Amino acid sequence: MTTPIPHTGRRTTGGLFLPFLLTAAFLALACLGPDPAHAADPAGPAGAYQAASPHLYRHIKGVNPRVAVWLVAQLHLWFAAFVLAVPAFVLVMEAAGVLRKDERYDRLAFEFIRLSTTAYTLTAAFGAVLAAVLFAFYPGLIKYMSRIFSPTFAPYLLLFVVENACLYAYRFGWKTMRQGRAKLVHMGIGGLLNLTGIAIMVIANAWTTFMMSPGGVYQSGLFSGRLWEAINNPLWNPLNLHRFMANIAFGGSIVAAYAAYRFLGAGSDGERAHYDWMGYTANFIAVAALLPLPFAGYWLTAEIYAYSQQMGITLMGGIFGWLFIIQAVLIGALFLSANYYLWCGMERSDGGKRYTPYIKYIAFVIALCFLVWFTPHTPQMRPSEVRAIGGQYHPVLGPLGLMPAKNIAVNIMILFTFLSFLLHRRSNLEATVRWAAFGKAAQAAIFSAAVLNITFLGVYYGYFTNTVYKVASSVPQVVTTILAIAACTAIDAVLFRGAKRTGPVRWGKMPARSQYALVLLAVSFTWLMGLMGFVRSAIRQHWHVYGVVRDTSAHAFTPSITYATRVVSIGTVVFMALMVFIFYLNGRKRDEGLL
Amino acid sequence: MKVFYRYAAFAVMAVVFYTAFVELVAPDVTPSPPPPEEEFVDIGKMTVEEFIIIGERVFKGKGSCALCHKRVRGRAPWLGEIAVTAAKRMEDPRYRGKATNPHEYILESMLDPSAYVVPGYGKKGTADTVSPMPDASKPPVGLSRFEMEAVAAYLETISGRGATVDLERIKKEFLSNGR
Ligand code: HEC
Repeated sequence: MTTPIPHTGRRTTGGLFLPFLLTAAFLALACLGPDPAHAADPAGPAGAYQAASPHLYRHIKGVNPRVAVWLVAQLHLWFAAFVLAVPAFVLVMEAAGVLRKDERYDRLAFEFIRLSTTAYTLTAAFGAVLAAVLFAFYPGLIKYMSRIFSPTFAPYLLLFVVENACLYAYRFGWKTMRQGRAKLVHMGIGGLLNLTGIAIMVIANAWTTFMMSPGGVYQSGLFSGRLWEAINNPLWNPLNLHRFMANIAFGGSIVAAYAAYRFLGAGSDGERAHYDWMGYTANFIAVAALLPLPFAGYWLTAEIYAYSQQMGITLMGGIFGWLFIIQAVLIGALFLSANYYLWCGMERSDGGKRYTPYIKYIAFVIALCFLVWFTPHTPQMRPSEVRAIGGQYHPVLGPLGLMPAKNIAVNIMILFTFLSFLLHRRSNLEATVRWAAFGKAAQAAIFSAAVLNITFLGVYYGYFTNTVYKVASSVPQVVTTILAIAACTAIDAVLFRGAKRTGPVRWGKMPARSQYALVLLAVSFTWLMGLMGFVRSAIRQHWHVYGVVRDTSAHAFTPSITYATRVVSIGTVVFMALMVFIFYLNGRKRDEGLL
Repeated sequence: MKVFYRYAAFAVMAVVFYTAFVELVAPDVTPSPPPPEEEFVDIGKMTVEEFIIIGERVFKGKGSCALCHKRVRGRAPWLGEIAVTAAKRMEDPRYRGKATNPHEYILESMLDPSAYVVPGYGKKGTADTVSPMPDASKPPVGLSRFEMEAVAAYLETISGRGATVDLERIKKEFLSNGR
């Protein structure tokens, strides 16, 4: 296979002013925003003492403190997610390059890490701004949190310094440490980079989850002195897992968007081929990490319920229920664009044409599942209704029981996306093993059986049994999906061992429109992350630390969904603008020897 | 250049589309405002811990004690160990008060600050005989007996001595006179 050699072709300019313009717009927004005050009733009941809370907030005229913190935190998080995720798959790719003795992986890995180095600076900058904004507007809360978590601050900073050093050694040592033992050292640095990154995230997650499900404190907020209980609070590990996986998916999608950007602006076939391949790989990473994400989501939700029924109901019922419909639409859009991209990719080889007739059926099934998922259910209930039937729920997984049909849809959607991958993978292959026909039949049988089983489980448990068992279907359904994917992949691996190639894969031979699917993927991921991040934070309602430290500011109220959406959209646009700016800078840099 | 704009426009369009979708589909309901602050402590059911928390709040809030009594660069002595130092104060020949234990000493400091003036902290020109600290029971601070008891309990707690609180007496007093 030829190595595509990109070269610096035509460059776009003028992207410079855009990010700054938008950042200015965002600051302007942060300064406006509504400022309604909910006056407290001054007269108290008899026999009660009114403990006025100490001064906890600082006001700066014209600035909406909540929106400022919200946007800065979100931007910090987006960048942090990106710079945490990229080293993970860079290291895997570097190892793959060494094991397969394929230089291409090494180059691609290097190009990925180059992107994340630039983003790292912005991550740190937004982190610093976030700390400053929090100190400025919420000194009381910060003081409270510091009293508990101050022992974690020094390790956090130390890890940050080490991570920084690792990143720079990893990135700038890439060229010099390419051979023999040096390569191993280099990969060791990469490993350390990943470990420090994860450690940093895990510490920050402890602070965040403490605010949702505080541990180690008394009801009154008095700290017991047991730091580990505060760190290892009920939601800590579920969030660790969920965030890590989401970060990988998100990071992959952003890198794919970068590849799309370079593909579209490519000045030569070689360059186009290289970025096509990069886009394909990044998209693969994004989708592979997206598939198991719902399961991490289940765990997190279940733990939220287990911690506080009230918080769980806030999350799934009433007004926030709508956000899950919106999420469903977004995930549908993600699946559709990923599939669309794969279908376009079949044009890369002549053999792919064999499968074109099937695409319309896959498309139909996915669209159908999408519609099922989209059908509103929960949000039609009023919060009071949800509360009224709340008692009948399974104590832990309760709300999920409401969604048997949606569970069928999402599992089938995952399976059919996997099918797209399989077809794409085979597009230029022809199995040569003697039992090829049998193998394919076995795959088809497994696949059909899985679909039937998922449907049966969903329908039977969902509609013909007691409420308590409704939820019982989701676990075997997920197991079915996973087993089917694993079995089909295993068969496929053997089936196509030593397969005949029907023709070369012509990287770069992709229609431009396919690249916009990658852009859509990145935008959707970003926006979705922002929105669901809002939900995670907002279910604390009027508490800084749930049930312990009350938000007594004028901004303690929950905003409407439309308002939240607007804030998230502004954030997304700012983030994408800054990211595209990074793309632009990376595209302009002279490719350093390696490429 | 064209590519750049098309790319950016597409991304922005996607965001606009999603936003518009939400605006059209989701009900623009403003969630109900938070319930009134439950800052009323039912005295009948109050625990010692709650009483101490009230003390902390008064110390840092209404009493404005924390304005002067800070660990770093405070205009007044640090009170983190006051229940321990109180014993020494009461033995000091310069002591003019009537307190016999740390709890009383702290209460006395609030009501009659000049009963003992910590050397070096007195009003200028009074040779440490007059305290610059205001009487906490008088305006503008105007703490009630109940609040001062709570502050004393809080200060005793942070001194590591454990609070000596006669909760039943305090409850009865509060419920009879309302403060
Ligand atoms: C205007 C500043 C100021 C404020 C406000 C203030 N203090 Fe003081 N306080 C002082 C100074 C100065 C001293 C040291 C002089 C003295 O012993 O009277 C002192 C002394 C004390 C002492 C004795 C310290 C010792 O080491 O013996 C106690 C107890 C005390 N304050 C409690 C309080 C409490 C409780 C409040 C809030 C209700 C309060 N103070 C508010 C300035 C202040």
